[in-house]
Amino acid sequence: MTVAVLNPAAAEPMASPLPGPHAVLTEGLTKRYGREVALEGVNLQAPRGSVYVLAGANGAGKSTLLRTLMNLSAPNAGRTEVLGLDPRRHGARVRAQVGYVPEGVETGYRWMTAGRLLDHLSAYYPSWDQAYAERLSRLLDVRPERRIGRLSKGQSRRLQLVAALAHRPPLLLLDEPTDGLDPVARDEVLGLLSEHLADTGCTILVSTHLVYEVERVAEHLGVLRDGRLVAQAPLDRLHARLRSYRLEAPEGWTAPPDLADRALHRSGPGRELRWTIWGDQPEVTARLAGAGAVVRDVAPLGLDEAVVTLLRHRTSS
Amino acid sequence: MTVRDSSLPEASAAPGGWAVFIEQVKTIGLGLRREGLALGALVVVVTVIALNDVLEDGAQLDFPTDASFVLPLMALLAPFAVWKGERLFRGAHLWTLPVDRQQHALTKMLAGGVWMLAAAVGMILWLMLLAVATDGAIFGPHDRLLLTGPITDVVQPGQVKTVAWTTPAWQWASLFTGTAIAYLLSSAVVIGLRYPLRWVAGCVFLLTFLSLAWSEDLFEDLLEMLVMGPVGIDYVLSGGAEGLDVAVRLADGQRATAWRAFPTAGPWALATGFWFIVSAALVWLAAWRHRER
Repeated sequence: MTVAVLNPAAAEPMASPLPGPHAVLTEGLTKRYGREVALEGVNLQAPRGSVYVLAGANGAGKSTLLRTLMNLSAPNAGRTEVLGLDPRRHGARVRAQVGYVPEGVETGYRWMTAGRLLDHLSAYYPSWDQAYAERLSRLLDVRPERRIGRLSKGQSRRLQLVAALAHRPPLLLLDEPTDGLDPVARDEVLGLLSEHLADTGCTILVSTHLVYEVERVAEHLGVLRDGRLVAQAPLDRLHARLRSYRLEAPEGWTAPPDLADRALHRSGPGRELRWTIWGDQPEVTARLAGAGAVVRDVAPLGLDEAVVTLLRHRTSS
Repeated sequence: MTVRDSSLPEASAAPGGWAVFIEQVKTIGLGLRREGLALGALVVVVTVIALNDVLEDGAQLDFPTDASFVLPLMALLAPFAVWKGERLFRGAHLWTLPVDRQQHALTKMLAGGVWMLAAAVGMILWLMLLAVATDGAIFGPHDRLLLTGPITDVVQPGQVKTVAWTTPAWQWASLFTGTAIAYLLSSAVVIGLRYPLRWVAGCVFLLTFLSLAWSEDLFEDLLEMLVMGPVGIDYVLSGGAEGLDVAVRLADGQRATAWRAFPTAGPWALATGFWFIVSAALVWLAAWRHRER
C-alpha cells in the first residue's frame, strides 16, 4: 500500500467556509505554548443549529480550540466569535450560553457530591431546569450522593453531561464526551444529545478522535491535524466529494497531474488500483476514463474512513 | 421528548452578583467542614486543659491579649483552605462558570472572608466565655503597670505605678481589622501566585541567606521595621501595645511586664488604613492576573 504525498487542495479546497449564521466562528486562530504550536490559523465555522464534529488525533489541538472558545485559554492571534460574542471581551456571557464538557474527568471539587455540584451549578445558571436535571440524572444513572473524587471516569463524564445540558444552553461544546463511557451509556448519551438537539435547536460542537461514535448525529465535519484545520465540510458534501475509486489501469499508467494532486490515498497491487479522490464524481470518472483507466467501482467513504484518510494525508509541502 | 417550560429564563441570562456570593458562601462553608471540625476539636482540648488548670490552681483566665495575634495567624492560613482544590492557573472549575473571572475571584475571596470573620467571632466568644467562667477580666478595668520614669535595671517604686486599664473599643475592633488584613494579604498570595507555598518558602530562604551572607542584622532589621515600624504590624494588631511592653525587675526582686506608655488609637488607625489599602490593592492585582483576556 502506498500513501499519496500530493496536494488535493489545488482544485477545490477541502476546508471551505460553511454557510452562516454561525454559532462558532474562528478566523486565523493561533495558539502557541512556548515554541509548540497548538493551533495555526484555524478558520472554523459551525452553523447555528447544527452538529459539528471536530475530529483529530490526540494532541491535534481540539481541546485547546474548545478552551479558547470558552476563554479559558487566550489565543496568540486570530479572532473568535461564539454566538455573536467575542469570548475575550464577553467571557462570562459566552459561558452563560454554553454547556461545556471539558477534557479532564473532574468537574467541581473532589469533596463535593454529585447532587451538591448540580445544586451549585443551578445557582450560576438562571435557566437551570431542575426537573430536566433530575431526569437526565436518572437516565444517565448519576447518583447524587456519590462524591466527585470517587467517581469513575465514565461516571464523571455522565455527571458532566448532566451539568452541561441541564441549563438548556444554545451551544454545547463537548470535548470527547463519550470518553470513558461503556457502549450502553454511549448509546444513551447520543440518544440524549439527539433529543436535546431536537428539543432546543441548539448547536453542538463535539470534538472526538472516535468519530464513528458520533456519526449518527453529525452534520458537519472539521478535521484538525497538527493544529491546522485541514478539512471542513457538511457531511453530505463530504460523502459526495470524497470517494473511493476502484480502477483498472494499463501497465505503467499515470494519471493526469492535477487529478493525482487531488488523490488523498492510493493503494492496490499491479493494474488494479484503489484511489481516494476529492472531487465531483462524474468529472473525476470522466477524467480517469479519458486518461485510459477503467473505473470499475465508486463508493462513498464512511465518516470514520474519511477522517482517517484526511488525517493520514500529508501534503507535499 | 420534553417540551421546554416557557417560564424558564433565557439561557443567556447571567447570574446575579448576590446569588453568586451566597452560593460561594455555601460552597466554601461545606468545603471547610473538615477544617471546622479540626478547629472545634482544638477548642475543646484547650478548654479542657484551661479549665483543669483553673480547677487545680483557682486561677482566673482574663481575655488574652494574645488573641490579637492568634486570630490573624489563623487568617493567614485560611485562604489556603478556602482555595483548596481550585487549580487557578490550570483551568479552575471557577473559571468555567458564567461570571467575569476577576470578579469571581474577588467574590470567592469575600465569601471566604465571611467564614473567616465568623470563625474569629466564634473564637472571641469562646475566649470571653472562658474568662466569664473563671471570673476573669474582659471589658472591665484591670490592673496594668505603667512606667513613669526611665527604664533601669531595677525599677524603683516611684518609677512605676499601677493603673486601671479598660480595653478601648478600637482595640476590640483591631481584633477584626487585623484578622481581615491578614486574610487579605494571604489571599493575595494564594490567588496571585502559581506556587504560593514555594514563594513563601523562597522568600524566607532568600532573606535568611542574605542576612547570613551580607549582614547578620538584615533579617532582624527588616522584621523590626515590618513589626515595629511607624505602620508596623504591631500597630495594626494591638495599637502598638506589644511594642510598648517592657520587661522590668521591681525593687522587691519580682519580674513584671510594664507599659512605657498607653497604646492610642491614632497609630492604630494609620497603620490599619495603610495595610488595608496595601492588602486590598494586592488582592485586586492577584485577581487581575485571572482577568478575561
